[in-house]
Amino acid sequence: MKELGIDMEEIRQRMAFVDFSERDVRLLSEMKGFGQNHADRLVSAFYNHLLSFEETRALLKDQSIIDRLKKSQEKYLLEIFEGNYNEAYFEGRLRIGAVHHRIGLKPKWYIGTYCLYENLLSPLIAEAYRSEFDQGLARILAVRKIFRLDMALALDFYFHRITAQLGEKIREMDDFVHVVSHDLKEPLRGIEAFAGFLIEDYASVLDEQGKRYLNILKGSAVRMKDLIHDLLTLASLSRKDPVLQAVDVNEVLSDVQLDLEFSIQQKKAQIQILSLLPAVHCDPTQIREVFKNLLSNAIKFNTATLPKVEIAAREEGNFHLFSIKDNGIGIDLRYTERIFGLFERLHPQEKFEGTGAGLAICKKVIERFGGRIWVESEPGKGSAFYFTLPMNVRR
Amino acid sequence: MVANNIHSVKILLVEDNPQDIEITQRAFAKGRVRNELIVVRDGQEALDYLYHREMFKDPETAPRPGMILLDLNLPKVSGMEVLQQIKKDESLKLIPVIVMTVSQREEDIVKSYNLGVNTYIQKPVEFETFMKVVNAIQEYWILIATLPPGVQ
Repeated sequence: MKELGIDMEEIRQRMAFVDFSERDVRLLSEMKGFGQNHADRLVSAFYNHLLSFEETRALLKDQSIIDRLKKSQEKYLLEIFEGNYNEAYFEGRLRIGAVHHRIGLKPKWYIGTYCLYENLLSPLIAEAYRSEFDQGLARILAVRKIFRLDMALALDFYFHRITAQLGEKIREMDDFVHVVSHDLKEPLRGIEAFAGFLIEDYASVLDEQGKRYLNILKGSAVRMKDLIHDLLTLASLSRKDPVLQAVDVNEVLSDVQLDLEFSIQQKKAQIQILSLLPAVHCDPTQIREVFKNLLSNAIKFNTATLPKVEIAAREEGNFHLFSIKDNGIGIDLRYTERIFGLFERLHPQEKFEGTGAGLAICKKVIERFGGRIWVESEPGKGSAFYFTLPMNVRR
Repeated sequence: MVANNIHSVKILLVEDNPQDIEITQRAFAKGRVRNELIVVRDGQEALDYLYHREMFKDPETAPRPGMILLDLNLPKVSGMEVLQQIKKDESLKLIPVIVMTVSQREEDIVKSYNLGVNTYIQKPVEFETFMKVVNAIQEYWILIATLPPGVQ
């Protein structure tokens, strides 16, 4: 129970939720041995039930599995009517979930088992208390409640294991991505460096064409390095849990402008922040990446003599709506969806450099926080990128 | 104690990749300070050098380095193990160790600093940047910083 973070306090809450009271405990313990008396019948019904479906039949090939399942069912039927709904009892329920997970029995199948028992037990109880209808009904309901509690715990455990397995797979993939990226960078360094050494050491024997070829080699290596970097960024977005905290967007923007200082000055770009920007609940590193990509694009895809970028924010219902508007080259409507795809570029490398991953990264981050990102634009008339971030954080 | 005798500071380069060795050598050759670069090709060789074992039995063949440039990705004994051994050893732990490696994984960075690495640097892809890094290392560790005694 500790492994799942469930304690008896949680169990008591769950009991209250299904209205499993002291009275129910008494009703069930007064039926001590009831489950045991009918165990043979119930367990063979259980076994036949599993046999009648192809998927579950496949799991029962091994005699030791069958024996273990039958034994655990008998024990269960005994324990339900013992009246000890303590930690040991519920640990036992979780352990059943472990057994099921281990043999590959999916929740959809063993929920059927609980139903099967209920379907068989209810008439048996009704029959046993046929002269006192109220007593019979009360006990049928008590059994139903305990089944609900037990089922929930078995499910909890199953999904806990599945989640752990998934976590393991993600870690493996992450290792893979890291290893691949790092190993790819090493030969790139070789290409870039030695092309440069050639240019330097053999300048006298190289004509302009030769130097040009070598510079192309260097450029390609550097571009590939940037692609790898963006791939790594995207990969780590998938696996890292975002660090959620209150982030002052004004601060983020001044940091981003510092990062982009060189190109801002080089293009004499004017960055205007039209209003006081809000604080948002998100991961500071990731939101910074979003603003950096959007601002960098606004400056880069801009051939105006005085590039201008306007940043604003307003509230729209439960969301903050941010806008980054520029007087740049604009985007053809046909491509406004495509540009958010990975490595999608609309312009040749010589005109505007970049990997085409920036917007894909923005989209991933924004959508992860429950927002939307889109663009409104016309060729020659600048672009306006909008994105939303929810105001209230849902854990 | 006088300031470093900058030109006599020997740098031990622990690197297995031949291209990276050549790149590093070239960067130092073009650097401000003419430091001798001694190259060992894997973690085992690095430890043999520092402890005067095997082919480095004769201490004359293995002068004590003033600084160690260490790649983490090494065959035989890993760079992390070499780092750990150096920083655990009373006689070696004073030597500044600069890790120059491809990995930018947080685990590697944190572990290295926990083991006592002096600086952790990611190997740049572009040679121009590589030069800047080497210049910065020389500027900081050899020209500006005072190295611990026991260095040439």
